[in-house]
Amino acid sequence: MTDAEGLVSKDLIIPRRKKKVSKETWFGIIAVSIPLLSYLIFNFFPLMISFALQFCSIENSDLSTMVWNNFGNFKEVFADPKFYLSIGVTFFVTLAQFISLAISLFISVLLHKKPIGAKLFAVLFFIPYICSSVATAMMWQWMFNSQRGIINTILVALAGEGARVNWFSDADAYRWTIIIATVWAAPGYGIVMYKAALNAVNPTLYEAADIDGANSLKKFVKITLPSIAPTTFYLLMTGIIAGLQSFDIANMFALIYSHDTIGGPQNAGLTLVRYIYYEATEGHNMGIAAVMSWVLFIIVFIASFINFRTRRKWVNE
Amino acid sequence: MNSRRIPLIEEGIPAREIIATKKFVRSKKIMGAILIFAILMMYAMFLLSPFYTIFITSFVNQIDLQSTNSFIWWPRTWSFDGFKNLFTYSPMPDEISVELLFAFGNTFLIAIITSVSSLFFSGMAAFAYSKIRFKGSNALFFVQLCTMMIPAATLTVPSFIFFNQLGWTKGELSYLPVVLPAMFGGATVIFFLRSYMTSIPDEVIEAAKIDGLSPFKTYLKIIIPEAFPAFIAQFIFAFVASYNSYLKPLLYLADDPHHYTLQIFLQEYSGTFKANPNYLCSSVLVALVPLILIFIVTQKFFIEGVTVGGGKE
Amino acid sequence: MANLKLKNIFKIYSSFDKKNSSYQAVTNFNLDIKDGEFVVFVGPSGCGKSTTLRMIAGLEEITRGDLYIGDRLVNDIPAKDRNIAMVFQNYALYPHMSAYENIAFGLRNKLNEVPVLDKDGNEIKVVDKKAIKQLKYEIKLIKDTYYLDEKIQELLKEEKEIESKLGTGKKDPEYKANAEKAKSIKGEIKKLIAEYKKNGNAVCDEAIKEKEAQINTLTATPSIAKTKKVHLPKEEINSKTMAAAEVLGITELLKRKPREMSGGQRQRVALGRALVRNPEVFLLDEPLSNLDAKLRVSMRSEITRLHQELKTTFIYVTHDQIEAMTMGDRIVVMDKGVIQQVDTPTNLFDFPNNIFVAGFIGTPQMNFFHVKMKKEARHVEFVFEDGEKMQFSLQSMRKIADSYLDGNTHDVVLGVRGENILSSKEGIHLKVLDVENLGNETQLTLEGDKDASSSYKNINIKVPYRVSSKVGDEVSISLQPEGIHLFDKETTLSIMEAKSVIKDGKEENKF
Repeated sequence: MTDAEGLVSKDLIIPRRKKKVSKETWFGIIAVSIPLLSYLIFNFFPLMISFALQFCSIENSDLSTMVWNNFGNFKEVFADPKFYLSIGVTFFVTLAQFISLAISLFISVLLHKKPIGAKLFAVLFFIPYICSSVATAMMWQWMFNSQRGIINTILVALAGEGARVNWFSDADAYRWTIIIATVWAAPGYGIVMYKAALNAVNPTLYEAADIDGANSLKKFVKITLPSIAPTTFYLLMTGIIAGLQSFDIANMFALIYSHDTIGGPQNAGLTLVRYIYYEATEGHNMGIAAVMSWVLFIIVFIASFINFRTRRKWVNE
Repeated sequence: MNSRRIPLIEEGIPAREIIATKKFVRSKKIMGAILIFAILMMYAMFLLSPFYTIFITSFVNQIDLQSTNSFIWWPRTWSFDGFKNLFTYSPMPDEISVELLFAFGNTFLIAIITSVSSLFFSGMAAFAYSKIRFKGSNALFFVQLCTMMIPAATLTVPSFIFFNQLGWTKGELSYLPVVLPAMFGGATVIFFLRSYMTSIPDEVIEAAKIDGLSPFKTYLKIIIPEAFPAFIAQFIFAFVASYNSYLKPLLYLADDPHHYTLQIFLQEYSGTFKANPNYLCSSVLVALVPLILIFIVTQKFFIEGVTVGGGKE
Repeated sequence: MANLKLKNIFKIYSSFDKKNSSYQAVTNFNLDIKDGEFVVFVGPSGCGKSTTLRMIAGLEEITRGDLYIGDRLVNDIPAKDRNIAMVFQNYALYPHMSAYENIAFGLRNKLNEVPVLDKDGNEIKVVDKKAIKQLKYEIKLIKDTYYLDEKIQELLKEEKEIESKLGTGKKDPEYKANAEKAKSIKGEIKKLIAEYKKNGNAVCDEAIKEKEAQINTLTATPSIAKTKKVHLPKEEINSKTMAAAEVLGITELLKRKPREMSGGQRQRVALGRALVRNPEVFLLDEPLSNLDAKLRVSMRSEITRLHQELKTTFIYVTHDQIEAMTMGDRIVVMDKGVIQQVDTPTNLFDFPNNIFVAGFIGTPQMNFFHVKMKKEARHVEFVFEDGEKMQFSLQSMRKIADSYLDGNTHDVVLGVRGENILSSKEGIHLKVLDVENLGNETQLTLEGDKDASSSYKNINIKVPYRVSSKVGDEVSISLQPEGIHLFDKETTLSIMEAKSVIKDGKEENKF
């Protein structure tokens, strides 16, 4: 029903028509629905399918061969020692996020003191973050090369042949490769965020503290840290969630050490997502992959939830 | 009070001592500055070391590589073997093509298409959330926020099954799972753009309304130009993210070398030429250079894109 | 150029979360604005003046009531089609466009209907689809509501009256009764409509037939020139923009962006943007509030000058009563969504209808006293709170309503402006709290002597000369009877007639 030009009143009372939906409401609903619908179709719907898949066995990812198998997949997953191993590896690798956070805080504080070349440093420190994880993995793979890698070369030069580490064949060392590579790449983001947060701290707070006689350490702990707590919280949250989903570097490294395991020597680098990926693509075990995906989901959810809850405690806003 | 108080002249301290104390404080400051600089330098070295190694190794002679047992710090002779191979390599024997070009082309196309499209729709949604009053806006925004909660990794397997069922994992259609879901906007971008748009004064939009613009036209002619810095920042971010994305393309585009993206190419290339570190390093170098260049040119926007969104929530 | 009618306008915000909680921003706003008038809406923050203006503009939905611009009922017509132009408090210029672009923007979007000519340059006639659409709409309206019928019209009138009473709020004891009545009227209307649908209604059916006939004739014969929508030609846009720029004296600024201009310049560009639309009504929402005092004064006169040149209807919203008094032909004083008084500036000053208007208009604010009044013979005696008595002859004051002159004692509120207070030997005893020397006049603030239990606070006096009084001095005051305003204590309404006193002679007062 379209609008008329406006009825002329000849002192007649013209009854009002019912309100119709305004142009704006239409636009609002459509504009907002497009991303949501896309998510619904491409993500949520498949998510529901995978939820069902947990309880089925399936051949070659063909949904028409879905057969209900009760909790068969669950039994398989929870009886699989590699599964628990992968969870452990994932948690271990997530440690790298905490280390990165500490580093980014430390470096930002240093940068905030405005040393010479601070601007140049800031730009430089962010570059690792924009390198793709594949590139990062390949760079570090070359650094960790047992014969010609720069790390071993330095170690051997300093402490002799005994210091040589077999990064990719020794399980204990392998664990650390992923962490070191992540710690190299990750802090850039945190540095930029902390830079902004530090700049936003009210300088008069420090001046008041000076009058109150606080030394640098006290000022840092009592003023700086609380002021940037929202940023810390945010970085922690995103860091943990990213850490729990570690895949790219673990995958690349595992392909290097592609002997009898799927996650490096003794599967020391088998993160959960790498395991899921393997089961989905080469193992052709969609049901199992689905179960593990949902376990991951729950882990991430719990981590976020805990993080969110504790926010109130140490972020005063 | 500070443990070491600078004495006052009024208290009758000889000028010599005052100068000495000041010198002490000053030298303390200089020491501190040097220390900070040293630490930052060390960190910078740590960060630069991988780049250094791949840069150098790219130019090392093949023969030298095979004959040494340790890292070569400086090439004896500068060789371009690595690059030559990179620019002529093709995994498809019966074609005359350079795989690298396919990889770059695919990557850039996908990155640009998805970034621009995603920004367009995200911006529209952000505009609706921030400036338009309509029923259900709060509820829908909450739902949109919740989508951020679902970790991406848990969606890979289900999506794969879904797309496999649709037949989009083989042939030319395999581009679709990579491109389509990313085209229509996402929660983080919407969130970021929305908080930027709230700074656009309402009256400007009302004036546009009086001037006769429909909401969509208002978006095109007023909002986009106004929020342009935010759009650019997010575009660069999205572009880099797409350029670097690995898992998704790996799942769908890794079957046909024509479809490879740059990251897949790197992986395949490194697998093929395991024994040639100079090839590997040159490939990584070539893959990184465009991004680093883009970053250096646009770093202001980049950093804006990172900060404005995340400090608050 | 057009007149406006606002009939029983309400603006009610209902919140989505709390049920039955709503905020009534504008209540029962009725106003007839003449063509070419300069009307000012004035009142404290939150009084609903901006909301009303925005309803007129079409930026807010009118919850209840009718808005007519010219003779058109425009409630459902979008802002762009209402032929209005608006100037905002913070200019609302498009930041990324130059001043020229800002002004030209509306023109660029405008689509004109231009006749399409055939090869020979003749107009091609087509069927008047628009008129047919309008007629069809009217027919549908008649069929749905039968509003042409007399009985229905009466019921509708009743409904409107009841609705206007509804607006006074849910706390009103009569609300429920009125709501019930409104419901029952609606029911009656429904019944009638149902009846007419079955049996037909002479007047309406005829009207329908007439309109249908009109539709037929229109469909049969092409009567209107075929038109196409075109944008305005560049030269026209340019000339109009330049003309507006000249009127406002901003031709040199046209290339600049808003951020390169001062507040006053931006405001002119905003005015230019409004000007160029050639509207029937100019709406201005506190346009000068963001400017500094001096600029405000000069822009004020510019706007007035503009109004005199254009002779278009201006509706101006401000919270500054001085602005209102200097610019308006008529002023609408509002408080809490309700119109307090609509009158010329002088009338508002001389004959305020209630305590609010009396206290709002005029600087410094009018002084109020709680007094007991009693008519005695030909004068009235006022007893103040501290026991002080004053007498004034009936002739010396404005005419008081008879019900208060019945010889009984009434509690009333006495209002008197600072310029009508004199010092005297006898009178209310007060102490000087503050002396403000404004150059050619002095403002004194007095308060009650604390020992003599009184509650006088912040009584202000204004005299057109310098005084020698100091803080702490004791003074006694008396009042000029022609400046006395009386208000009922409960209703706050004035109990005097709106006519001045005829005075003879003037006392000289010195402080």
